[in-house]
Amino acid sequence: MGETQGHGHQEGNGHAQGSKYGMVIDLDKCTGCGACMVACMAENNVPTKPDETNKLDTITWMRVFKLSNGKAFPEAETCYLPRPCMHCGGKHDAGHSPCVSVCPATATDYSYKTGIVSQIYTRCFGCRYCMGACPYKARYFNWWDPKFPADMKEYLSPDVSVRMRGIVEKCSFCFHRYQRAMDRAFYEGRELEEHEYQTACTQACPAGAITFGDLNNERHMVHKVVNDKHEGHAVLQGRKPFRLLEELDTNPKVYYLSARDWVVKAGNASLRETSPADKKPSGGHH
Amino acid sequence: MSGPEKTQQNGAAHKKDDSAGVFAMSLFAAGISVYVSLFVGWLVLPELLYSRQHQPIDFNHAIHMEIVDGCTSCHVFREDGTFAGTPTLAQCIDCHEEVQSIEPEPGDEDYEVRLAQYLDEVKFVEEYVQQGKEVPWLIYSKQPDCVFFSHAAHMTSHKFKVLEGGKIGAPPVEFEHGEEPEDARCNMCHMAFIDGEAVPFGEAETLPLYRRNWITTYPIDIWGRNISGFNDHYYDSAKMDDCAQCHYDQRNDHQGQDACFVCHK
Amino acid sequence: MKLNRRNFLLVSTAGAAGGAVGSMFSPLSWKLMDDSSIWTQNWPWTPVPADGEVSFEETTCTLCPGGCRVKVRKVDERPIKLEGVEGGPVNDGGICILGLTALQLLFGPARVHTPMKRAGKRGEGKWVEITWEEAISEVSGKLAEVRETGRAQDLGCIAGGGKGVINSLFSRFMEAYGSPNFYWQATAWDCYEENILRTLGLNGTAGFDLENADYILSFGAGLLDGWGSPVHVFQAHSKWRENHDGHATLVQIDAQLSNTAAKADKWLPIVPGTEGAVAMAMAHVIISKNLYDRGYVNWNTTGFRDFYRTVESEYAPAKVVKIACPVDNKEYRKKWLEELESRAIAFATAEKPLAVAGKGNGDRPVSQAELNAVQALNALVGAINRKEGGMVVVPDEPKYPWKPIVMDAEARSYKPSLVSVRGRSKYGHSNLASVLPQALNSSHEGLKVLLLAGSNPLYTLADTEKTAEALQKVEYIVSFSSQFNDTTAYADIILPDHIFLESTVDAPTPPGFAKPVYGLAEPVIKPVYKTKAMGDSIIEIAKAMGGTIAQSFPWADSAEAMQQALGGKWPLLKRGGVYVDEDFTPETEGVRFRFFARSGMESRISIQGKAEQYPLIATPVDCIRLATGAIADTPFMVKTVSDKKLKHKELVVQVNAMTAQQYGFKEGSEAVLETPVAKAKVRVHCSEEIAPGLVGVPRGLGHIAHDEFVGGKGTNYNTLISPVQDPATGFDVAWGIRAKLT
Repeated sequence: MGETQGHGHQEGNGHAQGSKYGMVIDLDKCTGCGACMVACMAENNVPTKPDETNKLDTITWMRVFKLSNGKAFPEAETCYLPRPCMHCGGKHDAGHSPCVSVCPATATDYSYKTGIVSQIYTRCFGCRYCMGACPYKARYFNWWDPKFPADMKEYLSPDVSVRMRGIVEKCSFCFHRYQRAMDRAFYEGRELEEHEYQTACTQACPAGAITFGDLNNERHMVHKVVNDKHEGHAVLQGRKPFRLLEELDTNPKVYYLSARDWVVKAGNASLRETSPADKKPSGGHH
Repeated sequence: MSGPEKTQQNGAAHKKDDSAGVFAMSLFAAGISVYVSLFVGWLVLPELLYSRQHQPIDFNHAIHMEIVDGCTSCHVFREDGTFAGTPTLAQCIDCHEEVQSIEPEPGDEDYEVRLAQYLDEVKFVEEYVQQGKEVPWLIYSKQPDCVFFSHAAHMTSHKFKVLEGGKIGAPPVEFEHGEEPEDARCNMCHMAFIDGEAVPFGEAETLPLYRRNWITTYPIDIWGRNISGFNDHYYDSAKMDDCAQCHYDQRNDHQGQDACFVCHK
Repeated sequence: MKLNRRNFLLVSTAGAAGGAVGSMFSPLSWKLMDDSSIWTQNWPWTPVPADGEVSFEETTCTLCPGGCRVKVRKVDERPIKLEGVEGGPVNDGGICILGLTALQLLFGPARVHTPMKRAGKRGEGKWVEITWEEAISEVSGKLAEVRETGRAQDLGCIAGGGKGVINSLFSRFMEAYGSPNFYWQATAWDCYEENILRTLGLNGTAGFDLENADYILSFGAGLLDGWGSPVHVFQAHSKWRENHDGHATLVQIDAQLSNTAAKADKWLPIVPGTEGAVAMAMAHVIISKNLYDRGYVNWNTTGFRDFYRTVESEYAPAKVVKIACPVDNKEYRKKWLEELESRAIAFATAEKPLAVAGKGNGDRPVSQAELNAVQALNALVGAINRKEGGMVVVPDEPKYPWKPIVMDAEARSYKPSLVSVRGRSKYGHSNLASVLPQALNSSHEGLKVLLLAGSNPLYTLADTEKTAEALQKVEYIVSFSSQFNDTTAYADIILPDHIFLESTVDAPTPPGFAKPVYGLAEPVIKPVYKTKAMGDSIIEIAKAMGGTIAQSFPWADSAEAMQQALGGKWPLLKRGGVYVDEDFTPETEGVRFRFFARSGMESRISIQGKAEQYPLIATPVDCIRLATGAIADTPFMVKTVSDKKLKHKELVVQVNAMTAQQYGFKEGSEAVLETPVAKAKVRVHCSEEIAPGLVGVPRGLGHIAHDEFVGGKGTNYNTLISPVQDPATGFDVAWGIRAKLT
């Protein structure tokens, strides 16, 4: 067993020094196939009900939305937009995520070490304030007990707790994969590699549309894409990464790419509703 | 007309007597109740709240520690850095395919102890090894499903310091030449409570009684043996607050706290 | 002291107060409060999955012909999840929505756990468990009984396809038995094979080097809706998007804004069924502007003159626009024409252009006329057998080197097959399962026994009512399905198959893949239930029948038969799980493309129904979240289906907002969709993604049987349509049906 020095920049308590895990989703590559959604369900022990057509009570940590440009046939265009939890850091990544700020039970908190917003099921008592606070509707309530009929509980993963009725759950950026990867890194006495901690959706996406990693780590692809520092690769092709509802200062960690102007506008009310002249400078977290 | 008056007077005197009696009775009742509730809370509850279970085999750690090199020889880390916990049959089978020990004769030294050990091994070989059945060990430190505990982090981190006698708030132990024996870390959290005494598992010749809370199903080692919940050693208990206490104590700056997603899943 | 009510109350209050004070200093209440809150956090009915050692085992997914390499994550012996294998030749780490959820097929409520015998009426779902010995002896007894009558042709078999060792074991059984009635349901890929034989004279499958093409014209092929090997096509699409030297261009010619059209650089909307005509119009542009590859056309093709003459006289863009442009508006038509021309020019001048056809996800056949037209475009730009970014012919697997079938007199004597179509050149009539119900319903002979080997015809064949009627005529139906699926509900006996994770199955080159690839699925978990690999079942049945049939199956099990069949590939497959012919070069020596375009050729297949009675046209909508083949959606997949396709138990159809208004429907209105074949209760979704006058019907819903997650949801598209035969091949090429909404 090796001796570990912790892992580099994650050492220390200062907010600025930690990792900041985030995602870039290329909407031009995303085909809306739904593999990310089911990969997430299979990874995170999400149950299924016989009728899941009421989309208000169906639990999908990762949900693929369909955007439309609102034009009539044959000028209509559509675009799929996968929406995990945005793991908002709040202003200056101080941890004032909309949901964390309102939780009366400290069942959800912000980690300065990873930038991940947690959800602790045994602590949650189901008041659903966080659901009201989340502007991305990324949180889901368990209206019923989870059911795994026939032998379907045989495939449940021990890495993620099965949730009970009456509590809220959401995407964790597959934090258990970080825990597992860290176990190995500790054991082998080395730092975590970029490829070792990837979310289930990133891994599954057949189009390779999702990039996941540490936004604070210069060697990670997400950092390069978000900060336009990628070398040689025409990843961006003039596309600017954007985030959803950036004007709310939620400071989300999920970035999107699209060459289509209407898609970029659809993702951001401030771009949509205000003219550039009277637009207030918003956030500026790039 | 006097009848009622007299009665009234008598009634008042009687009332005075009576109120003293009632007061005494009330005091007595209150006293009894205080006593009973304290008795029940401190002495009866701990007995009633927990089961008393014996392990399927009374494993002798002390004997085995003589022939292996530290706890992780049997309580192994897997290649992926995860901790395997209790050993499986596959690990025991090398030595215990057949019964190893010799049946003691009456009159031998420690006859009864050795006989019990011998019978335990016979039981192990016959009921488990030969049947290919894993032993259903009762896990003292079993945490609930919501907890993610990384043995790798605790066993390898430089931040982890072994504190004197496992006592809460004690100063760190200075090891000779900085060489820290492996079980020093293990003993910070895992101790065998035998006859009210905390013994390092490696030295225990018998396994402690396993006691499980009827309501929570958690083993007694999580809350600790002191029903009050106040403990002076890190190994006394393993509730979330205890983990948090140690994490706090181990920090140089005693500042900040860990995120939930460190020990939870 | 007198014990009256007052005193009693006083004393007991004091006692209670004392108890309360005492309990404040006793841990009882605090401890119990803590314990009971912990108790509420761990309900015993919330499962706690057992932990253990994690391991990964690789195999090949055979749920579709895509051939993806997958790995199973296991905790001790328990399979937890499927993931893609990095470096897999087809999928390189990717995995699709069906493969991801394979464990729900393994453990789900629709799984058949042991051999079963029907107890109730057909479709009633009453079964009794039997042993494997009973099952094999009953089926072999029944087969022997039929054969003794001297009418071996009374045995039929519908397989899941024509390729691979398992299907070959069944066709071999049929041959040894003496029946010609072995069928499977043709897909677009069977049509391509037929077309390759007709136009190039080769036996092989179409392969498309999509990832290296730089200008792709897709004539209704749902490239991103499950076409070909889906994960591979997705990855090719992503490569187009990140091409360094400039963007590869995808032009989707499609009746609706399908997912593929939505991702395309340009969507050219057309009237459904006019794909062939539009291709011809593009050929017209390319030839008349002299942009075609003269070298290729002069030296490697025949029939160009005739083709050109037909194109010139009948497919001038100005003429085609009248039938193919979906908007009846002068200005738009002009724009549409310009678009068609400019795209045809861009296609012809691109470096590595490629045209593909395929009707949605590719499991519906395409007419030969349409394929001729699309392939003509490939010929005009020299894309045929072009190694980089072209369309290549991947040759058929050589015949398996098995010992010849031992034939007795019964097997040798001529028996007519139930269906026949003139002019068919490949596989006899075997891929004509779509014609079978009609043949059964009109013939007085019919079938006595039907084997269902990896097929679900009641669901996948057009006109469910007619198919059900045909199935009712069969005396004895044997299903090898691992799931209680639609057709299994009609079976008399089920001999449940393993899931691929439990068995050895081979996976020949996936459709559309440009190189020969062979995959092998090997058991990565122990069989969970009392099931048996389908290949082993048929071998056991053959052995139980004795005589020449048993002699024709000399192997201990299907793995041994596979080992013999695959010869030199077998050790490679056993070692690496997959074999890729990296040095593959398409055969070009003496290969000439034949242009087909007879004068007056109708490139439009007409659909059933009269316009006066049925003013609208119902066309299918494909989406990869809805499996349309023999294997149904898994519970997780159904969960991802949009509420614009399924609402509770009702099918939602897509109608243009204008059309909806015309018939008085609003978003979510209830309606009845009626076609000449059937009626269904539906809900209306107003959409701008579809042309006025069309009704988009999602395919993949409306399963019967199965479980509460999958069965009884919506309406099966196939119940609403009836087959339309391609005059050239006999395949069902219906691209829709006339309909009305009331």
